[in-house]
Amino acid sequence: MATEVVKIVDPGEGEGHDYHSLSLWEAGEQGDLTGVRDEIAVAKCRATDGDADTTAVVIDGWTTSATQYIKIWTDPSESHRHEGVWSDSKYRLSLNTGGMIKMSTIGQDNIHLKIDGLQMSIIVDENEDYNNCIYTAYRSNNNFDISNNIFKMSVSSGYSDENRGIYLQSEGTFRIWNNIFYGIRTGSSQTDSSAAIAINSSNVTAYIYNNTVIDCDYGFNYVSGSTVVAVLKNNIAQDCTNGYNGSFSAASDYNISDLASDAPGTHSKNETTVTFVGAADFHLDSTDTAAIGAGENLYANANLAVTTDIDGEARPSSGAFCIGADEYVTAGGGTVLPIFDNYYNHMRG
Amino acid sequence: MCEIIVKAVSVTHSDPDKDRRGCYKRGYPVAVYPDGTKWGNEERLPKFVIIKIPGVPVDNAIVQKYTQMEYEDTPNEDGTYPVYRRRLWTIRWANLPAAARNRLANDGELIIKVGSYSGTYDYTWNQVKSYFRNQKTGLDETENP
Repeated sequence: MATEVVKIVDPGEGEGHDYHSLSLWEAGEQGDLTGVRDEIAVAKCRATDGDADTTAVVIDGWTTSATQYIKIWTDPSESHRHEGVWSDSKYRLSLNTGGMIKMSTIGQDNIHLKIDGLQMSIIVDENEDYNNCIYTAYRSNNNFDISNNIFKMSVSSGYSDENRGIYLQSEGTFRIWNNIFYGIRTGSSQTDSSAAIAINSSNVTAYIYNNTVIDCDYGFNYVSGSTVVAVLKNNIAQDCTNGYNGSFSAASDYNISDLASDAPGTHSKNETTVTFVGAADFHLDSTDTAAIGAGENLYANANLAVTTDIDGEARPSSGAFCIGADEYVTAGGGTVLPIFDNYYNHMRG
Repeated sequence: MCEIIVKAVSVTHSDPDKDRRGCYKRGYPVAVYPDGTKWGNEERLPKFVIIKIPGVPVDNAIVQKYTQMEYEDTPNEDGTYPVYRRRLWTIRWANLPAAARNRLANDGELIIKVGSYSGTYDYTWNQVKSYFRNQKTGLDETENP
């Protein structure tokens, strides 16, 4: 059985740190995990003094397998993980177009990778295209789990387009759940082409569950590619130009859009507004009647079992899920339907 | 003052194409940090060495260019450029003077004097700059930070 080898990434140079940046970690730990190392290479990210990790990361040249993989995360038992809301004091990858390696914060090559609990931000203030938080390009046999992350962009450049939170341009299997995306837009002088999640490759199998997308050109965009199976369940798209674009799997269901004829699935809701806690806090508000208790139970889903939400709080093992990245939890610890809501004091959405 | 963290060991991949495109090699500059950086437990021998250049700011263009990747000349169909090597520049490690190689192997650092710097140093920039080579052009460094 592979051994987990944990290294601490901390731009704040905290006690016991191994690397200053995720990029340096990749340079130092790169190699064959399947041979003598027999290893799960873990980057545990911290932000001791609140400094951002500002170096773009390219993951390449590794050899991995399903059991000997790369894991990049913030440990929820530590104080460096976001709490479901963007925080400038928690670990984050933050880049400007002018200072980043072109195109991507993370580009992967033929690998098994898990990314959990990160914050990624790109400020697009130059006329550069293809600003992608996670980008997989022209490869095959990729196997990614991307969970509990917050992706955001601020696009002030008028001519920047083709920006994405996650851009799947590689063959492989991708499981994407409990993520929040917002502000992923195209510059005002260009035609909308940006997306929270975009698929643009053949031979893709993607399970995209319980994500929340706000204020993006496209929420979920199946651009092109043959032999693509993209199953979308329990997702929210709000304030997007086009929430769901393309032919998603017939198994897709229980999605929400505020646009007409948009969300795929017989139980999905269109022209439906979700009520969040605040302008940049996408936890479900106690007054919400659209997403709370309205989703499919995916606790034991064969393709992607979702057992917690973006805050690490438990999803119900039976009964309806909430739709989106947040599971509405009361002080008592359970999900409640809105009709019973007045009987509880809320911790938060 | 800036400090360049440089790969001290080569990573290899069995696929020659992936090896060239993806793997860091000994002598590849990885990142530039300011003077006084508290290097992490792994940011030192045996994986890395530090080239210290007192008096040169961390955002100096000459120093920063050493961390650029080398891209192919022909773009992908979407206009982006594939990476050809992880670094455009490399330090010709094997060609360094024996004393410099020993200093790196033993202490994990070299101090390079640039300009009016008056502290202790191992070599001047003029003595070592030609060991920085652009892998695409095959030409060695001639400029000063």
